[in-house]
Amino acid sequence: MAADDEAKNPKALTDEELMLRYRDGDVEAFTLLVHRYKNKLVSTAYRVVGDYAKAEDIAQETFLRVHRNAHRYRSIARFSTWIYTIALNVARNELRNTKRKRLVSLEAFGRDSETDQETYDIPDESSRPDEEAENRDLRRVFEAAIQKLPERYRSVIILRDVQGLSYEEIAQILKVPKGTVKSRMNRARQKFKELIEPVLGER
Amino acid sequence: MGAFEMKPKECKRANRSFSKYFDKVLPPGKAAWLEEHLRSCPDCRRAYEQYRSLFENLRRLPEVEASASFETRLFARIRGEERKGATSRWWHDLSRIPLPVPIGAAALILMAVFSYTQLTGGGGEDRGIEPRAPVIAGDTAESRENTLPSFLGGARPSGGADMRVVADDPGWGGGGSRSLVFVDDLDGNGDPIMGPFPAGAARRHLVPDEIFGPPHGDGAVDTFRVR
Repeated sequence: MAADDEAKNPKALTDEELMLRYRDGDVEAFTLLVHRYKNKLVSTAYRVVGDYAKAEDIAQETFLRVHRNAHRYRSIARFSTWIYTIALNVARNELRNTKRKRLVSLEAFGRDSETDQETYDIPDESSRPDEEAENRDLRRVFEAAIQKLPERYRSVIILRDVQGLSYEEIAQILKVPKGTVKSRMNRARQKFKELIEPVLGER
Repeated sequence: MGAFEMKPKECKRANRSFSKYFDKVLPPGKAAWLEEHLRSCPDCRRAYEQYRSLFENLRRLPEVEASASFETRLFARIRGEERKGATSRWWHDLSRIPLPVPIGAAALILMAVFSYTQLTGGGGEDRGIEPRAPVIAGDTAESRENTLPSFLGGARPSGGADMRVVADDPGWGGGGSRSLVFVDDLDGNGDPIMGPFPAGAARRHLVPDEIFGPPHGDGAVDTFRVR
């Protein structure tokens, strides 16, 4: 009976079970998935594009695509892998289509990896609703360093160290072999460390 | 040449293993070698501690929260897409029906004739209604709003009155799918009524896009376009 009760409680269902329910017409299941993933997607997108408003747009577009393609969903893949794949694709398109805003320049951070200019830009924090004053400085440094990474490194570090996905999931999302994820992860962390150490050393 | 290049080969190898070791994906043999090296090399031990601390802190980076209106906006967009999708699917399905040319042409002629009679007030007899004037293009319910209170708020006639559904206007007056009903031969006070009406009857007399306004003493009505 306990198993039956659990089956009746949507909150106890896995993401995959909820998605299958939504595919079969259960709107409440989609609402629960949105609850579970909205912050994760906004976080991921924000760290990829460095702009809160765009991050929200990306997260919305991701959910819309999930909705549009619900009939195609099969439980062979983890839902998280599927939705992060969509989100990263949307975010990368956004990066390609728009010039990233560069709002604050911190020369102490060294040279820009893409433009080779001696500037370091961090995203606008003023519109962020969830900012906690006591962690703001360290957080800004971390967020800025993530933004500073080349895109291929930024993706793996966000998926692994910020979102906590496994190497297998990251390999599926990025469509690269697991070994490539491992080596890319190593280089991404090395680069991140090189970026952040001079700043932390001054504190 | 940096400090790293000055280090022995073992230290370089250890540094390259930090990432996999931190993620616990380093093969057991290599992990054992690294642990042994870290025990014997203070520089690498310190370097790994800094490495571990840095990425543990990164993992504690708080989530960026979606705004309070996130879900409202999302579900509004989904509803919008569904409405649009329903329309496009309807047209898409219709266009896929193979119609022989004569039937298609006949259907078009019928539609044209029907539209003409609707616009000119023709067909009123079928509904038992004689519009006083044709529909005025562009005249809207909103623009006639001032005339509506007496129309909507009139007294209910005595029993046996001849009620006619003349329009079905979902949403007008905030009533959702409520049908508009009025009597054109009143109980002497000249007021019409509005109220719910059986759905079947409403459909039988439905006049899309038109509402016949307050009746006059002679039973004639004004007409105006809802949308």
